Amino acid sequence: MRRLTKLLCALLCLTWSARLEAQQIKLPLQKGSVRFAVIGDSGTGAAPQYETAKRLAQSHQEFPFEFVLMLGDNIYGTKKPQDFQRKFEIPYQPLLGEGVSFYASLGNHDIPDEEFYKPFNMDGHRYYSFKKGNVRFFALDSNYMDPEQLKWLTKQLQDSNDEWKIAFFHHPLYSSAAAHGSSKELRDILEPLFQKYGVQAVFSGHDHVYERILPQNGIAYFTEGSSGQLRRGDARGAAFTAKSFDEDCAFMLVEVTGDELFFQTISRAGNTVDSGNIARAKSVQESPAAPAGGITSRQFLVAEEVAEFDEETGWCAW
Amino acid sequence: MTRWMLILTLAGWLPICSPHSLQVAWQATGQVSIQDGELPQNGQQAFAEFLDRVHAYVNLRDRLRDGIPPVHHKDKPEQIRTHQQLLAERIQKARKDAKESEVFTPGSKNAFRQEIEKVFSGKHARSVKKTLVQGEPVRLDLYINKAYPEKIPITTVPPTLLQHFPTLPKGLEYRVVGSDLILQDVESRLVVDIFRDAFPNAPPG
Repeated sequence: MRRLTKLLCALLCLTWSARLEAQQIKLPLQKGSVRFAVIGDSGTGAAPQYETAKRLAQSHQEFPFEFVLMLGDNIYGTKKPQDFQRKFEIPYQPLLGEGVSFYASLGNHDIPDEEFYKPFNMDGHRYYSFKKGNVRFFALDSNYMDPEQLKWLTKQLQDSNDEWKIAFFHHPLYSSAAAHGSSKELRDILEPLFQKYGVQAVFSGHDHVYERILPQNGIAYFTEGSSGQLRRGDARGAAFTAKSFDEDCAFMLVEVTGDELFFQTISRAGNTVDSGNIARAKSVQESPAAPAGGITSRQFLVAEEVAEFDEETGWCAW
Repeated sequence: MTRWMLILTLAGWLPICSPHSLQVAWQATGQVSIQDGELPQNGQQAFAEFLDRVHAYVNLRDRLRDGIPPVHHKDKPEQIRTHQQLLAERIQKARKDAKESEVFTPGSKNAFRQEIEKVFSGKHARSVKKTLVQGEPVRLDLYINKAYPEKIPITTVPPTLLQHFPTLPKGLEYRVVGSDLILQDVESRLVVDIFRDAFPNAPPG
């Protein structure tokens, strides 16, 4: 009996230490950094959303992020006033109560009316941009990429002299998931713009998995569409996949400090499923080592203090 | 007679066909961007006629909106929903006799079909078709003057198609539902008109 108790205690200790390890925030928490979370396909109103939201709120205690990017499908199904409560306000109440802002983009399950819903901070626009610190964010409506929106985006990107440019919208330009996959047509239209104007990171949802894509034409792509529901086993993996996770719901934490963007993806169970950082490319003027011709061909530079850099994939990882 | 013409125009029944009004419509909405060859003259006229009817609808909607509390980006869901429902009720009443093909005229349907065929046989054909499949294609029984069901997701409208279609005024959007091309008023959520079988080889819903 005594041996059994000892064994149980040892198991408990192991589990507890594993949990502590799992929940550990790996982000630098630099003073003055831009800190945010990313959720996608969240608005089901079902238990997985609530459980993931609870974990997100716990993470906020350790990593006090200022705002959350919503990657679309913010409210599934009916859109009655009580649905906005059940599928958004109640699950995220702990964060809303602490003054965390949400910035939404529209998914195919959303309705354009959501642009008027104050907590989504869309200010009556289906696409918009906003600035936080040295980062300019571009929220796009990938349901309806009409010439007017493209014209707006081009102008916004042209006018932005921000150090970091981050785009977020619903449909992923790269995805290995079986359910939807890459939005190739959208990619052919958006990626040249992103490349030309120096967008460094893109966040999308739609596929109910997490996936990090190997840098494509100097741009970091993330799919986080599992913050409310999960398609277990859907991430097939492709040549462009750096990391995928489809075993649990998840969300991302991101910190931008100076020339570096750090990310950590955490599952509903509290496990860190991915983490790493990317470094902003410097122009010729900023970096004497860079080749002539403006922005370096590979926008991901090795951060010196980060231990491992994968030459093949172009990613830094812990 | 003039008064009747005005009423019919506002109700979307009669296009304003004077050359001046055509010019205004084109100026207001911008030119259609044709990438793979110019649209024939009759196609441009057909699109101009389509846009005239679109604007007649917009004028009607703007007039009916008078007196309804405006929707504001700081509103609560209840206020947003009330605005949408009141506006929809008024439009439904004003357009109770509206019929299909009053906005998508036979001439404009031909022009739309030409553009669709051009895109579907062009260099982006494969990715355009994939966009329709990825966007969770839906098959629905939709009717004009009825709301697009809020529970049903929308299919992504291929951006290449949008570059070929006439640009719509703010608040109106094209939708692809099965093989049909829909004109939707996103403010009232009502279906303004339906072009049935615009996409003969649409992916299954």
